[in-house]
Amino acid sequence: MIEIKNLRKTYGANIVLNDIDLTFKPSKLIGLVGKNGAGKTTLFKCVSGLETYDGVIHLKPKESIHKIGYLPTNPYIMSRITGQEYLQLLCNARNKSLPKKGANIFNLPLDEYAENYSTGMLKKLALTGILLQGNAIFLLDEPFNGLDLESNIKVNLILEKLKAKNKTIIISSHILDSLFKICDEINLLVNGKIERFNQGDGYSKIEDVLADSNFKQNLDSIL
Amino acid sequence: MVFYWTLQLERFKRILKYLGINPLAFFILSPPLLFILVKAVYLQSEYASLIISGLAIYLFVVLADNNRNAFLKQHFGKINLYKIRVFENIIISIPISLMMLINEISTSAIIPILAGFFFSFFDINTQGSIKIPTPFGKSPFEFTSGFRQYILLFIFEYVLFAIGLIVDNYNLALVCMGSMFFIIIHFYRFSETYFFVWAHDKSNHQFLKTKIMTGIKYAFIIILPALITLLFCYPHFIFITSLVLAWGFAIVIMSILFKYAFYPRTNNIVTYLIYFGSMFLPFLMIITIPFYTKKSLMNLKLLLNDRN
Repeated sequence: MIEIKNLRKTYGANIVLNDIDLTFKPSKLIGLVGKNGAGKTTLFKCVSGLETYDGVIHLKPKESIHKIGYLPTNPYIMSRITGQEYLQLLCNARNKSLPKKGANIFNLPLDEYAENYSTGMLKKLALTGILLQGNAIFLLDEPFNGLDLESNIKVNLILEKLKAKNKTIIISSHILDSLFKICDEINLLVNGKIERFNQGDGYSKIEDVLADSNFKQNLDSIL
Repeated sequence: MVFYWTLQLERFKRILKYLGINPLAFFILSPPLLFILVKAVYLQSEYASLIISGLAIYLFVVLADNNRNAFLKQHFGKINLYKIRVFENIIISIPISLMMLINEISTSAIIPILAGFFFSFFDINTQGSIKIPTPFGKSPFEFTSGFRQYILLFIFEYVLFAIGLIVDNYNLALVCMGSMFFIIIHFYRFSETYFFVWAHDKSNHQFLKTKIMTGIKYAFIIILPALITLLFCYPHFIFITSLVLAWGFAIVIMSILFKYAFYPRTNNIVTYLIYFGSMFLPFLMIITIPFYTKKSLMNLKLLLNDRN
């Protein structure tokens, strides 16, 4: 479980996260949405400890700080390492042994250089890596980005399985339809503040908040 | 096109500033510095023209990268792409040729200009995709990645090493073994993103210890054939061989510590000068190694121990 109290993150004069209070419980799929630059990735980085912040982020149990699986929007890959070596690296980092069989759940060409993978393949590789680490908390930044239809279905199955295994899962995505289908609750990040929507309340309000009234007008002026 | 070149100049100035170099000072001082450098090469070697031409060709190969050229072609068109490529290669080749001509009136001075023009019309896949097997897969990533990137240099070193043995030149063979450590420390030049440090379930001490142990073990694997051969062929030089070996491992350890002491990177030229100075004046490592150790432990503590 993750408890966030008065979380505040600023970059110079720019307040990205403004006194956020949130609780992420296990066994729930929690969505995080917001416009580009709203602070979703910053929130993930604060929770994982990759960014400094003001306020309190409390993980229960405390040891789960070492069991966070963070999937970045654009997973970074070093040059000249194979997919297999990438998985080995992530397993070594958590003192886990890489299973000899069954690890390649997405049927990736693991003996090829990962730098030659497509966006979707990289995403799948990075996701496989954090699954193999046996994490308790999953922060998935745009997990559906670049995935083909088959992989989308697989990712949904993975999320269901993680939920059944009592994991804490937070997903950010711009593909609202996917989030609406799978999430138990969705948090909307606007102007550094969080607005929470539960499945029962109906998610359609989120689209209203995200809609930009000036966009159509601006589009008409350039096209 | 004017904007493209203005932008390139601006980028270059930004890189200089990032490195802590004043752009104006660079533009004023670089011609005499280049002259001194070329002069030094001519004084040191009878193959100076070949060495300098080789370096120029290396630069042309880097600029012929197919990804970069694909981007230029897509946005500027084929004709403009060739204009850009010819112009940038000429900018590089003219000063080099000029310096060569000043040092030695020779037709070889035309090589950089001809090579520059020639390479303007080629795209080269500088990345490659053939998988090179390595014995380092158990503990990625520095040696798996670095060994593949520099494999040609290692082959070159081992060929020179073999020549040294054939002509019974111990010094050449020893220098080849020593310079392999120079290639190895390049593996640590690249700073991985925070994610790959953060992902470790280790304390700062454990993390550094693992990195150092892996570095020593894998560096040993690379130089082992050379070491065994030297010890076998020149047993009476065992003391000098051991000294070079100790120096090699020391610079590998220092490079690992240096990387994390200034992680993710530093743009301070003085810091680099001290680091490189310690390699050539090894007694300085008595100061730098403990300093880098302390600093890297502090740096890593923030990412590994003090989370939350």
